[in-house]
Amino acid sequence: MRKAILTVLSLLFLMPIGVLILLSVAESWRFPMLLPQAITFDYWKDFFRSSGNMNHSIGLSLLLAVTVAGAVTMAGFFTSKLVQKQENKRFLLQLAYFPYSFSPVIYAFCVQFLFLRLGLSGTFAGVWIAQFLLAFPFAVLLFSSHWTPVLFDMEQMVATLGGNRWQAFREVLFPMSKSILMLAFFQTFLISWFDYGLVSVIGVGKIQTLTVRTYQFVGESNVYFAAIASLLIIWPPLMLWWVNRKFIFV
Amino acid sequence: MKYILIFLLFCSVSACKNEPAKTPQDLSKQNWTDLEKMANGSTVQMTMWQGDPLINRFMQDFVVPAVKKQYNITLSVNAGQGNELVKILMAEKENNQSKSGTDLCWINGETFFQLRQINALYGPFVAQLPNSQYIDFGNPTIRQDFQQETNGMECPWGNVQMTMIYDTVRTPVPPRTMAELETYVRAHPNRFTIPYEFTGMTLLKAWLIALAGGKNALNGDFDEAKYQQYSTQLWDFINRNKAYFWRKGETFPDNLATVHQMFANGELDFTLSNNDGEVDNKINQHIFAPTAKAYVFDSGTIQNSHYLGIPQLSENKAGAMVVANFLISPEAQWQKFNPEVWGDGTVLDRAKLPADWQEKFNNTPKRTNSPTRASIQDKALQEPAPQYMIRLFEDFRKKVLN
Amino acid sequence: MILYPKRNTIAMTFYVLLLLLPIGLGLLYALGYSLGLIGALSDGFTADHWIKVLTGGEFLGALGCSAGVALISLSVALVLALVVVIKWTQHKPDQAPAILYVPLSIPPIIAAFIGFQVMSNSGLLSRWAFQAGWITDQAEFGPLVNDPYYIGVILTQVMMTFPYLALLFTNIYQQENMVLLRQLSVTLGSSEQQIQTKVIIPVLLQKARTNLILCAVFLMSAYEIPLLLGTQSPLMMSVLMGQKFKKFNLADIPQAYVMTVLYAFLMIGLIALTLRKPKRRA
Repeated sequence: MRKAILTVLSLLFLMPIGVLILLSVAESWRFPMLLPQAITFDYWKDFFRSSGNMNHSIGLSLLLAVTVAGAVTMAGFFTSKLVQKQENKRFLLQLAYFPYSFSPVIYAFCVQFLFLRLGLSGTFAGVWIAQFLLAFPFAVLLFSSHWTPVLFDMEQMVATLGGNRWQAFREVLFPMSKSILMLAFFQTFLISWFDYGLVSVIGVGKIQTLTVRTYQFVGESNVYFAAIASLLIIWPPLMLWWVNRKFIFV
Repeated sequence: MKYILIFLLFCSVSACKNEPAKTPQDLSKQNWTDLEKMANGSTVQMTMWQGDPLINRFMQDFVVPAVKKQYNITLSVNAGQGNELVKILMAEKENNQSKSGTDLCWINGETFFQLRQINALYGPFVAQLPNSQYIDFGNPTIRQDFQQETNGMECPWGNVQMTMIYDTVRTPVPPRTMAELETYVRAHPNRFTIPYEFTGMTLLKAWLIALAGGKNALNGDFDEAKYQQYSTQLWDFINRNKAYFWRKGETFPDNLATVHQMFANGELDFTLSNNDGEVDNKINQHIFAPTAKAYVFDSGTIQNSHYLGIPQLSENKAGAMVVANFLISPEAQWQKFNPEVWGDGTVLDRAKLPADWQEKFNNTPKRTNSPTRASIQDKALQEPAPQYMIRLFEDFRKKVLN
Repeated sequence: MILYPKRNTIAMTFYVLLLLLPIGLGLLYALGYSLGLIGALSDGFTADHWIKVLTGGEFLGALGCSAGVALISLSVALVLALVVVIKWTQHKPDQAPAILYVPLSIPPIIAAFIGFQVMSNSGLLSRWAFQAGWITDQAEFGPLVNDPYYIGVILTQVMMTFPYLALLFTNIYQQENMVLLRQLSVTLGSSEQQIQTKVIIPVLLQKARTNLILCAVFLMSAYEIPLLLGTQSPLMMSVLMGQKFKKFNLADIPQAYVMTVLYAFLMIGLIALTLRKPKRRA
């Protein structure tokens, strides 16, 4: 049964990647051909030649996503823990849904004036803060189901046995929270990595992340460049996850 | 309760902050040498559409190094087009910003109208540009933008004409009038559509002008009576034929890229482009088959220009003007005129150019599958007033989609 | 653990401000704009934009469309995720299959792009059908995208959502020590079906409740996927708002803000209603 599930899921999820790879090297791939008529790597060469400093965009996206995800994960983890201890935790958690009442693009239009007034429009810091504000409540909510009485009891036990908060975190909370921490980091990394709305509106086109570059190609008819840009967007999250599975959490 | 009070306190403090805007820079009295000196060593932020790799390459490989070498200007090209640009500049004005994040922007279509509405542009400045002496202001599609005299508030940069694109194998004889199109779609159902966006509306404007009596019929200010009369005929034409359109006219694509792709894959027999040279570009990029060709309807298609504008709040207007002057230089205009580079029409009057530049333009590689500009010039229609497009877009939803 | 009340208050105040302040101010700004009090083209207070939106029909149509699409997408994704997790963990509750992370690496705009390449009339599925002899022309296939029932949008959203839910459920399964619960149920004589329907599924759903609500909100607010794969009428909410914000008529922008305010309060109301404390039965 497991093999069957794995086979079906693999076909389902690897097929789209296959489509992108084939599109990125297809010299001609028109209906009704199932496979491209010829393969060429010219599009890849042209892409990097004509796209102007793509490496800078990739680096910028990575820097933004890693730092935002790291900050949001830790902030969300401890905030969520604190919220769970409040009497009005239900109300406090409900507040965390507030920013998700609309899509990031619309959210960006609403908060744009704030960033303009604070002089953060068109800056890296402005985009970073905007993405942090969007991802932080998500992390709080994600962690909310993680904090069980068992976890609090074990933390209390460490204190009873004479341990300090850092020991409680290192020896108890962190090991027991590894998978959810990784999931939160991964998800908030993706929120930042994939963000277009906030970057384009708050960044006013100056913060040229990979997604901003990609959206232009996807929105145009150059399917080959769109496929290449899509692969560039997809591979870092995939690598991140592979590293996680292989080396961090067995 | 305490959270609400703290929240309200912060709201009132934030709302109080309202710095008065600085008076925008005015360089209208500066001579060109002084402007070049002011621009020397500065950075110019240029906002433009970056969805075409050929245009990106032209900017990055030619323009950026050239302005650095010739004027010591660092040109930073940022992404942003049309409505996004308007929204950004509008937000800067509404929030009393003292400076804009953009110094120079590519203005296309109705953007000029919108920016004039909110008084976001600096000018007039075009007359101060030395290379403006070569601009073909005799051509109304260059001098006017959507029936508005540009009055030096935006600098013409390129000139294009809308074309229909078809495949010579699938469609040996393309329809050249609305009546022929009606016959065609009935004989070949599910093979034609109108994208519900800028280019599609440009096609509808051309049809509206044709129904109104042809060239110049809708020139001048927006005329409600004319619009009602001829748009009724337009909707009637579309609605009586839409059952034969793609997906029986129950839906229309939201973006041109989808139409291009459906055409490339043989799902549609036609696509369209605002750029008369686009079919060659797309064939070179292996997006369209080599059998694709472009043409215009006998009743004509819209020819319009794209422009460069300088935001009112730009802090480096001198730099922006120097870059704009470079972009309308014979050198830059010739470079992008080449179909192997961009294939964008020039705004320069070639007769005004020095002889060597005239020869260069004459010896530019010819278009292969795109029509020559000379062959379609007599079918060039001027853009009507911007309200026509706004109304067409709104009424298409009400009269055709619903 | 000793609690520090003052520190807690400061921390919670900061938390509330961080959540409420930006978007709260944004909504106030939107409200002001929608009433004509702010805006480069505004002429002073007016309720016209509100009247236009509330009587126009577009807003309600988009709301219904968004809710319907989100509900269907979430339901299908939920069922798929439960099936995968239950079958996967039946005998060995270790980590979820790594392959589930692949779709999480694909952003909505690219998912929509892929969806179009696969499901359009000239897409991969159509080509398979043609090569298999099931169709003789592209026009005979589908439509699965840009169709009036949002099939392409739903399928794409399901593909993106169910892996996330499956991962979440697996995490909850481990967290709640469901293995022990399962063993206990077996000891008490439950059948496999009873274990799944009376134990595993209720626990997973209860524990994932807040995440499911978040999913529903995200799906309702989807922008890129319905933009590329949806149809013109009806529009989904974010696409409609995006059109009002970004299309040709600047005079439409106040209407976009009206919709933003209305939609925000509707969503907040919905979330509050869904998350309210269940009444105790007497």
